[in-house]
Amino acid sequence: MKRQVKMRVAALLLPFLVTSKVYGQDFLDELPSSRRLNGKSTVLAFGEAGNSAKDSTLTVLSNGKAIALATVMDTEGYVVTKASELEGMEDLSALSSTGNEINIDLISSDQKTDLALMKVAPDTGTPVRWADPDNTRQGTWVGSMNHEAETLMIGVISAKRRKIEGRSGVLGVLLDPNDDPKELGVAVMQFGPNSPAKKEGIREGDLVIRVEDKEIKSRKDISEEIKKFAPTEEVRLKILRGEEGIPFKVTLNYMSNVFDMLDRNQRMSGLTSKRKAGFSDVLQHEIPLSPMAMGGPLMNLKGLAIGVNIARSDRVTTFALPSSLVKETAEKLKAQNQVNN
Amino acid sequence: MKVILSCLLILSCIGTKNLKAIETSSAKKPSHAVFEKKVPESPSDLIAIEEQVRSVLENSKAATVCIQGNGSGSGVIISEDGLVLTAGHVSGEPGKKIHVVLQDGTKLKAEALGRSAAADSGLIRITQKGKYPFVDVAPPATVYKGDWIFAVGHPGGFDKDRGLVLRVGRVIHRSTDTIQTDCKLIGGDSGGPLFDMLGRVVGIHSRVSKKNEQNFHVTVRAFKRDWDRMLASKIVTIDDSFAKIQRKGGFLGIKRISHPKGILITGVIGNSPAASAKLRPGDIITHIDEEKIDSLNLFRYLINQHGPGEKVILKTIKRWEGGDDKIEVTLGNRDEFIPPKKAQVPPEG
Repeated sequence: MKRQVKMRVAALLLPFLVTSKVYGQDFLDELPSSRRLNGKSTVLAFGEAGNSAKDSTLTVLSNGKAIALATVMDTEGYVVTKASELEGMEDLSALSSTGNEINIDLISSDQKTDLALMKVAPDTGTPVRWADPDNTRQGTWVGSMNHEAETLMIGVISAKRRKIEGRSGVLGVLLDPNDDPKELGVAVMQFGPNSPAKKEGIREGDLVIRVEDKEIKSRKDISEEIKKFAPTEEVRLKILRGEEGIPFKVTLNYMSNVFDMLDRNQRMSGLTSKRKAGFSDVLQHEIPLSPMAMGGPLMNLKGLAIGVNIARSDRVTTFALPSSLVKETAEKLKAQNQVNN
Repeated sequence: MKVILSCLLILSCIGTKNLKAIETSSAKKPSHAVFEKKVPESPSDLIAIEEQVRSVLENSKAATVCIQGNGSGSGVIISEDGLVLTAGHVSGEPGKKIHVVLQDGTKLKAEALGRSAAADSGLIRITQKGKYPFVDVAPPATVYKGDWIFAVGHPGGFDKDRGLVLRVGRVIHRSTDTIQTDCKLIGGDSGGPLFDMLGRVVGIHSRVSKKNEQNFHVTVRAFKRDWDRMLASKIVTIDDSFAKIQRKGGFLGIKRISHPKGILITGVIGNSPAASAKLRPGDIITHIDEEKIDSLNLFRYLINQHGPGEKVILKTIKRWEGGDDKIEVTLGNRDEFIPPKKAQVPPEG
């Protein structure tokens, strides 16, 4: 009898020993992933607020691939998303929170907030309920849907609410550091990754002699002129190549598209949003969302949205526009559209 | 794969005084039930964590500093007169003049003391006289796998408009010199403090892994071990810190694997102290001298703290007889059971 019991225990033990051999000791030594901050079991504690996040979030698709999320504003079908993620994207559609692919139309975009107003069929999803983030303190739990709105992820408000200074567009060129301020022109030495200047056919050794209407004698002349333009805006350049003066039109790129790969912290951050600066007011939180999960609501534990995610900035930082700014911008875009029609 | 960042540690000018604080500080936990649960189960459980963090956050932030000198890192003040714990790769060469920046932007003159390249622990002293905000350091081994913790630091450098950045998470794994958590870290956080729910320092941010929510911190134990030498502005090498200190030769005589409750015995060597103590395969050792075992590394470390002939008290769960048991075992001499490896003869030519 006793022997039988022993055999049974041994049989129970055996799969465990085998498992540990297969996966190695470290595997068993670690806290199971379901119990970590963003583990399956932990995020369930977010409760009803998690369902609210899901019900008020749509996925925006381009050619059937998820590029952003959107927040359901009302029962008329108005939603907001991150405008710069739509740039150059074709064949837009959306996925409702129930998984149906639906039509979506771009109404208009706001360069200042990087919000875009879009429209789907009326009564798609549940309109988000807003809360004022005025009294939201560091350490407050928040939750948002991740990529394709499949899973809820949680974290806390991690730093002070504030303004993020804007960054102008860039040509993506490294200029001759030994420029002579008395002579006309500055030489292009090298190109950064994704350089828009290179794309337009500017070559190493070309002399930049004019930017817009300004004559160029030093690197400072160029940067002062370029600084006036935002990413995606077009700048006129005049290049001297040999004896020949050639005009170019260059569409400036986002600084992050060109220079992130040269930044150590950005390299260890994985994918981040191309536009992550130039916001008049943001909440900062720690939820490690994909840059393709911007535009969704940032929920508090009561299931109220205190903001809309607007930029994945680095490994530890996500920005959200506070609810008041989102509502205000959506109303403004709606009104403009009605005037235009 | 693992990118080395930086970390910070602080000990007091009067080092022994602060070490006493480490020894005697009690190992209590906050009282809310969520801290005993496997996972939070409701919004109110999450709120309990939030409120616990907030109750200690302002003090924790006041003592957290930015270290400028070898790039920008973080640190934490642990004594009123300005001893700062940081990462070894943040403090840099002993004697180097650097700056410590308080939360409000006050920039103070400081000097690098010692560091350990092996553990990535480092020590700095603020040389400007003053009374500085400081936090307590938790006794070694009061933080366990699954515990809720929070990280503070200056990711990307000092930014007054943004302030110190908070991250909340859990301990994923702990070994002698390293705590692994799911708190997210980046360059500039290195040297910053990891706090337990009572606002005591339990680790110093050291390295990031490729996975975003899996990062590394130096343990208080690593600081304590090298304390005197770091305070004397020495560089502690791998040889000093591991080879000579850790192996005292005590031998128990079991084969083991890790187990959620401790370590699971899978084999017992004949005539070993383990055999004499009637330990058998299937038994689980949960504690050594009252310290909870949460990894194989910790088990190995604690046994190695003892020499042959020394006694340890093991707390076990007996698989066959059932129930818990406390056993006193006199350790044997490792060399009698496992002959030391023969010196390798270098190949000819």
